[in-house]
Amino acid sequence: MKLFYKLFFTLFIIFLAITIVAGCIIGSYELKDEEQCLIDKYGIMAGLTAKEIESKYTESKWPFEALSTISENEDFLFWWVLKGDGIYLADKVSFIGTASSDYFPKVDNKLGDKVYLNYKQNYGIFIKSVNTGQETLYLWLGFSLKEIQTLKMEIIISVIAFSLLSILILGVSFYFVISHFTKPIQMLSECAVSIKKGNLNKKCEIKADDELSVLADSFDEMRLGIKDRNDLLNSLLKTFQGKFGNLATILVRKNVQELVDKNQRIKSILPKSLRKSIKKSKE
Amino acid sequence: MKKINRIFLICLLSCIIMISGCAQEEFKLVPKEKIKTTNGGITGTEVGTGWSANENPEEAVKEAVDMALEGKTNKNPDFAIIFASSGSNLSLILSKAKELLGSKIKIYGGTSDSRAVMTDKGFVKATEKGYEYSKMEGKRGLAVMTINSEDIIFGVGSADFSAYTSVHEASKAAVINAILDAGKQTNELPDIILLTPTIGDEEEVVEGVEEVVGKETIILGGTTGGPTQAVFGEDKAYDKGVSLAVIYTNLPIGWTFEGGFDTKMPGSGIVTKVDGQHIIEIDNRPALDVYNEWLNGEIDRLYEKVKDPAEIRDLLTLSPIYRKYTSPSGQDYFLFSHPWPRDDTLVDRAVSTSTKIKVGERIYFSKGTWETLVNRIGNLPKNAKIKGNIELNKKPLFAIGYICAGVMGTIPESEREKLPVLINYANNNAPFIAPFTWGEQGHFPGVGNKHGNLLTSFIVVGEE
Repeated sequence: MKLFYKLFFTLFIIFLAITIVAGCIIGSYELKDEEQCLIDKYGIMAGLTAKEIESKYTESKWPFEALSTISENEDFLFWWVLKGDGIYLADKVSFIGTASSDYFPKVDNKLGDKVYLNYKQNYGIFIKSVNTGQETLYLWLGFSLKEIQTLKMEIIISVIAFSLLSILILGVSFYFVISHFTKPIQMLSECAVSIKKGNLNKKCEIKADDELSVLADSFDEMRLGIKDRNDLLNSLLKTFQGKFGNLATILVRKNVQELVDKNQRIKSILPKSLRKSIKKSKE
Repeated sequence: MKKINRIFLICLLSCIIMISGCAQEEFKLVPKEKIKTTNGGITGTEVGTGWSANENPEEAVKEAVDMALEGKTNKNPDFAIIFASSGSNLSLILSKAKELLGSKIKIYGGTSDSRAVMTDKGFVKATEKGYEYSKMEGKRGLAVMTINSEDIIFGVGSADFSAYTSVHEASKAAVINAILDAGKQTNELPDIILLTPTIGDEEEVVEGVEEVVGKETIILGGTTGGPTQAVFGEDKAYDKGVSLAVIYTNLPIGWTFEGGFDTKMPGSGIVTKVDGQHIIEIDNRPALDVYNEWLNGEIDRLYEKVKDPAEIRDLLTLSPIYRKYTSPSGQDYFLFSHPWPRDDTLVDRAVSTSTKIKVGERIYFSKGTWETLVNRIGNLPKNAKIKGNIELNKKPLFAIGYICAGVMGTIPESEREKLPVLINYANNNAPFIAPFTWGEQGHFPGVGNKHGNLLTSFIVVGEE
């Protein structure tokens, strides 16, 4: 199974890396789109409201209905109308008369129309200058970036869920794919063990049409070759039975090495070639 | 297997870090300290305003009076205007105010609508719901204005209608008492009269007062707010009566009495049958049928949709009827009335108002939006200043307003708190008090004083 795990994890990590990278790329595009949508939305609202303020300001009127409609947006945080740094009018009365710099020291409204995004604190501010003819006011529309964060979270969760699902699907599919290669190897190994134990009748067969089946066929031919020689030896032994007594049988059937270790005299009756191989193995 | 565990652990940790990185808290702003503005210098008139939302009437008066007198050199003012949200115990408020301000204090006022009272210091919210639905809530609001002046003479008068033969007589007595209280003779006409009658008899009250001071004396006021109403008397509160104050001064006074509706709408008719404050027929047809036609069937649709009579009543505030008065100089004035179905089930087709419209009078249909009304309220000081020749950018000494509770009811709750802010901007942060009333009285030059609905009156007293 080691081979299986090695293959499985290598493939899984490659796949996971591809998934994460692809997820990040797609996600970042989606986030950018959403962010742009939000900015566009507040930009349009700010533009229209600023125009309404400009037209009504000369009559000492305010477009409260339009401003109130903005407040109904789900991601809306606040609307402020600034005169200089001071909040002249706001959706919540408690902010009127306070200084905008107390809340957002880094945001400078003097720069005119712009958007300020703060992902750390999850908010954005769209600033629009309002030219009343008498003085310049600034309309600040604050909005939450919660929607973008939610989308980010959704993307991460999707990537994680997709990865988990891929573990499951890949695990099952890799099991079958890798098993196709490891099973014949395991079978050949079992055959070899069987031959080692002297069982030369077990057929090594893989039903397939690939290199592994060719290997299995060769292996089986090797088994058959050994079996033939073994059968020949056995028939020879049978033929010589009684002429050399039991010695030949003992020599063939017992482990020669073991016999030599127990009794050195046996060595003297062994054929020359066998004696040489024993000597070599001892060295 | 150790390697696998390690990989799994790394993956798990990465997931947690990524998710926790996204799960940030929502951004919240907490209001900071306001930018300090400088107040005007000391003059011969000291005015203070205070408010309280305490449900205990005595504690509420103490809180509001303490706030009004804070920093004042004279802790015993000449005159106090007190308005408490409907349901407040006015008798207790009166006795406590006298205890705190001295028995010689001249007190004028009564109940404001159950939902709120207002001063320059803010919108004091009391009950959530208006009309009869407010009775269970028990929430209260109180507003006080104290004035101590070398340049203004005040006189107060009141009358309990049940103590007189008629409302007319009671009103005459009240204004005469007020003039005498100011140390003047009845032939010395006040510059302005502040009027607060209880509901249902406003026309008679105005006529009674006019009988003493004439049609050209300016009366500005508002009917007590409900659902339970009362006015301050000298020693006790009256459930059916009138409280008024007369003002004598050489200081410039600006005032305005106006509505805020579009009077160019089609739809008008002659009232052909009435029953007190109810219009039974317009052009010899059931009044509600005619009014509903002017609204393109809106009343029936509303009834099907909302069912709640109070809500229908609030919504119809933006579609009032009005009468037109033309002064000898040719100036048109519009007197609005708030109509609503007399019968909650709409079976009876009469239209109720809180004004007495006479048979033969022509009524017109008008329309408005809450935004127009908010802006109109915000511009009251400006309009009053213009009429009183008071410089627009000059801070007046004080102001008194009467704002229709029906108008307030049409303004979304979130926007109501902006009313004092807007008034303060136009009034240069001068102290003011404004109850929410169930009818308004005001002056049309050349025509006289009238009682109507859905109107606002505002008085500004400037410096010399």
